[in-house]
Amino acid sequence: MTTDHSIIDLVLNASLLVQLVMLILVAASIVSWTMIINKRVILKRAKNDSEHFEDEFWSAEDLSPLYTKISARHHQPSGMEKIFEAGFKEFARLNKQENIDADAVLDGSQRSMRIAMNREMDHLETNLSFLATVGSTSPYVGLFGTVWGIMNSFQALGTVQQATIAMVAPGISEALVATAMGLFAAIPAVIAYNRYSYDVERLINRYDNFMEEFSSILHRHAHS
Amino acid sequence: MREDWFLTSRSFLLSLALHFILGIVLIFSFNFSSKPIPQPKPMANIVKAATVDKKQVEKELKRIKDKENKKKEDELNRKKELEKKEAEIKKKLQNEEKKLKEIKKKKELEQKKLKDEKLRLKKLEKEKKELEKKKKLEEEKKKKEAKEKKKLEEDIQKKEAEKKKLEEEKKKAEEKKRKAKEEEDRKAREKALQDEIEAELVAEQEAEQELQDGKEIDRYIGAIQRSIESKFNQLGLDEGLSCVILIRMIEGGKVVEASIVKSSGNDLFDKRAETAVYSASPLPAPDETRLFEKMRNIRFTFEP
Repeated sequence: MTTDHSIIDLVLNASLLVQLVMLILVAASIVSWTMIINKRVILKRAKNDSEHFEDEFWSAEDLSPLYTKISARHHQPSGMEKIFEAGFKEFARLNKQENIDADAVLDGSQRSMRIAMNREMDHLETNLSFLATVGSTSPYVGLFGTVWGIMNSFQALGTVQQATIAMVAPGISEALVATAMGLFAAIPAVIAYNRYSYDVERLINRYDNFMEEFSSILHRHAHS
Repeated sequence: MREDWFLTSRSFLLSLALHFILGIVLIFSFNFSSKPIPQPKPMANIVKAATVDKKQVEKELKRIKDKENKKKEDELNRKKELEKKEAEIKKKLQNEEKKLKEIKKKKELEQKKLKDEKLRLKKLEKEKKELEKKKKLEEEKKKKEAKEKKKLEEDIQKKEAEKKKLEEEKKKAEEKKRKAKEEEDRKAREKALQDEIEAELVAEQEAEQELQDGKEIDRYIGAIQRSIESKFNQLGLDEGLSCVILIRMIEGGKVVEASIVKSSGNDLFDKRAETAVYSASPLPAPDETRLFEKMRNIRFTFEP
């Protein structure tokens, strides 16, 4: 294998700064891919959980057994379960108290449900901003490496009297590897960011809907 | 939380593996140099061209051609003349030889005559002797008287003969000397002629060399002028200015000194011309030392 201008050679022959840029870009790519995979698993699990829970919720005759069932689970509840748990717990607790207004009970449970949902939202949205950052800045970082490399190769050209394309071409090709890496890191990050922010939004909508529906059920309970 | 950490590390390992695989694929499948692109040959010499009027060039070419033709004709004429001269000299030489031959012949004839005479003289003597004998026999009486007379006569004769012989010898020697001298003269003349021809040839060669050198130097000066003009900054100067510059160079064409010999009247022009000369260094100069020596110091009129 002739390694005249293979990728390894290009990377190894680059100047220190360009190599540093490349290293940063590779690290950014690795981390962003870690997050892409991680997020994908988390979102998929949340989606499945919520579907599963919705099925459970709507098929249940009474909500109390569902609550006890969920509370009895040894692992931590997530997503919709958590919202349901928080809302029902607050509702039950407030309902036990004497001479309390039904509206006040509903308000309290709704508030605690909103808090739970916010927490869920926060959990889902963590690290998404990192993907956005990688997606928007790594092309620039790569471009910086390229510009630096080209600058160097042109500076070397300045001392020569007769300039040929053969003298600049290797330097430019070397420098362009940095841009390629930047794009390589950025494209998946941007795609994943768009996709996941959409997914998160849909999940939150779903939670919102569920919250409203659960509130109306509680309302019915309170005023019956 | 533990589950989260587990998930994250798993994702991290997965992403690392992905990058690793990708890197390997890139390295092995993206060998840029698998087919080397034929590199365009770097242009060996970039032509430094100055725009020139074609007509003028043609005119100049024609002029040079005419000059050359004329020169050729002259050369031919000269050669013809030389040949003619040579032929003449040959003819002369032949004539001389002929003359020499004639002289020889004449000399031979003379010698023969001399011999004849001698023979005749001998005969005569013999006759005389016989006659004397007869006389002796006849005039025994008269002998005594005659003897003295005879002796005297004989003496005289002998003396005469001796004298004659001496004279002859002298004459012969003289002849010989003259001949040798003539031969020497002829040789000397011939040699002188040869020398003259040789000298003429050498001179001719030298003249030709000189002419060639002059041409070469003219060419170099033209190149120098062009290279200086390319460095000359004409901005803001009037057209038609000219100055005479003396340039001293060292081997390789590096300018050591450039000075204005005759100013153009415009100080800026002079200054810029000088700067142009320095910045055009090294100037085109011949590698041949002989030629270079002739243009170590050049003086030329600079008129861009």
